[in-house]
Amino acid sequence: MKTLAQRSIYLVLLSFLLIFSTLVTAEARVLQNNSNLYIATNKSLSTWFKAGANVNEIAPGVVSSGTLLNNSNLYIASNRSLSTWFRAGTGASFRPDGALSSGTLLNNSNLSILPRTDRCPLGSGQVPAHLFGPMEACILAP
Amino acid sequence: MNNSNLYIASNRSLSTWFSAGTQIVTREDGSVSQGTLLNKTNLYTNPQHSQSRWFNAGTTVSFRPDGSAY
Repeated sequence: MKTLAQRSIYLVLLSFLLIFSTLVTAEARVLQNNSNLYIATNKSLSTWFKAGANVNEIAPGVVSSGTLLNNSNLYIASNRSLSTWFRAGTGASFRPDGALSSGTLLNNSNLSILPRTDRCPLGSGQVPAHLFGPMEACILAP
Repeated sequence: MNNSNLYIASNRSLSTWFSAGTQIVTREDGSVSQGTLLNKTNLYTNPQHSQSRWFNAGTTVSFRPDGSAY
């Protein structure tokens, strides 16, 4: 029968092993075929990537960057509220949630340069404080 | 009483046009932190939004979180 301390040590070792295996599997490789690959680590989003180009794989079947096969409409906001079109044959990088962090625009695009300030972090227990109309700060919910 | 420069827009939104075929870098909220201007554009150049200047079309510009360019 294992003691609580032994179990804790096993859990810590297991965590290190999982982190190490994740780091080891993150690698660049050349795609042999045009491939539809996941771009979100939870495998909720995917897009097509071009054969013969590098993809950076952060987990089996999940990539953080690659060359788009088609003109693609991709999320640019992590909460999936905004998307825009990106050009085929160009490189695109993705956040772990599947939103695009950098890419080449297909069309002339009018985009916000001011971060959204009308939302507080999910799960923070905070709500927006409206002092002069727009949200000025996040405060703890009463 | 002083002469005052006050916001008159309730949403203080700032957006601009970016050129097709050029790279953009986005923030988590979907706003752009770096991009190439489609048109000659007048942009704030300090976080206080008290200074601005014209940037030529085709210029790659980085934006602070307040929307000013540097």
